[in-house]
Amino acid sequence: MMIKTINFSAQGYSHVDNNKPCQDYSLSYQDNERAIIAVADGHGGATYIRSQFGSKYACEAILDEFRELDVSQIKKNKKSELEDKIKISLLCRWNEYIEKHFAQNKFRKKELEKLDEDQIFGLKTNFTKAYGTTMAGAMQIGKYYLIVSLGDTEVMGINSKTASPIFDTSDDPAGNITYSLCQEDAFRYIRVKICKKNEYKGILLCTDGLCGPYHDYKNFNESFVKPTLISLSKGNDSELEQIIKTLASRAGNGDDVSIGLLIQHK
Amino acid sequence: MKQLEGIKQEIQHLLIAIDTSKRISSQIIENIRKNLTNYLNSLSVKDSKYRLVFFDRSSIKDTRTSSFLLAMSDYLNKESNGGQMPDFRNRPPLIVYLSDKTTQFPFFKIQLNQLRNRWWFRASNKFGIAIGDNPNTSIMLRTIVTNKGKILRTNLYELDSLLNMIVKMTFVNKNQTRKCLDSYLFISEGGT
Repeated sequence: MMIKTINFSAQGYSHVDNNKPCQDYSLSYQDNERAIIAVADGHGGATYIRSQFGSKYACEAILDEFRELDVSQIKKNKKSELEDKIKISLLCRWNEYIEKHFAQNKFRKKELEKLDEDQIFGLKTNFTKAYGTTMAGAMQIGKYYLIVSLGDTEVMGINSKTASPIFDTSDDPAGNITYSLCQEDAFRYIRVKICKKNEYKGILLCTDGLCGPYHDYKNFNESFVKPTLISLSKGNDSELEQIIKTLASRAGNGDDVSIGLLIQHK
Repeated sequence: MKQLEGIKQEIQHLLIAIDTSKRISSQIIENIRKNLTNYLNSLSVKDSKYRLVFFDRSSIKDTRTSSFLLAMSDYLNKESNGGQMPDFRNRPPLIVYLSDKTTQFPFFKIQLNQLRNRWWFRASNKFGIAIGDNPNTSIMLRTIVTNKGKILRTNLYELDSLLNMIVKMTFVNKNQTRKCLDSYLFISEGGT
């Protein structure tokens, strides 16, 4: 069995129109031992003035964390203990990254000029809010998948050309509200799953800029997942990149679009 | 690119609850529905797809406030859970709750808690319109639309123009930038 990883991110048209940077970030990594994908969606609200960095550091924190884990740790440790360790470690890594970034780049006047007094006061007392982001990551290592998620970044398991949510999302926030890494109680909402590789043929991570325009899981599967998997099985990776770009630049809802895919193939 | 064919336009859900006592006749309720529907059709909202849903005596087939709240709560559930709202992010709905009643909180406590647990309700823009002068109506509406909602007071003569104004504002204000969950939300919405 071979493993294939793909990731694409593209800036949404509303961000281009409003002179905002691409607040999504995605990455993929592969070596002989493991395959990793990560996707993060920085918040778009006015106060999250550095969410493009927040999402980048979230993906890097996932990559760092996953690269340090090995199969023996998964086998040795109690599942719940390992899950808690991963949650804490991810939060620490992300906070370290943004603290370092903030220490070297204090808020500039230009960044704060569109905010009101309350928002500026809020950021000055708690700078982490400026970096607010969601995150999701998946790693295949040995016979296992290790999956993490926080917020409304979609995490789906692929089986026979359909994708279904890995975590129970029925009670998750909706609309424009989401859990975030910048929350003080983020630990409570990070979800971790460790499962056997044969449970899923692949993992799909995407931001809501991608799945949002499809409205519901059923339509997303029929219209996007199925044809994409068929196209990828024919080795047509560039088509997916083109779709992501088209969705972001005109066909979608204007939000940034990101995808991370990890697929097993013969 | 087959994948782009399945894309749906964003829908603005406009939920108008007309939970009034029998003092307000069915004919008046019907006029409110007609006027708002006509006004929406006359608006130039070609870029926005909307779904206007009325909750009133005829559609709920009940006159209790608890039944209105239950119907709204069913509607605001995600599609994959049997509701009418999208599973993924979309524009937050607009909820306008009209009433001249003075029902007290304990009589709809369970149904209100269920409604408050719907994330689409929390994300929505909420307005409570009190018809008439009774201050207890505002108290009841405040409980329903929570501290995040706006309460307005009007009479039957000016009700149509007020509704039109709120609806028009919804289409002008398309802001749906994301915000992170503030733990304070639970505290402010949890109380009565």
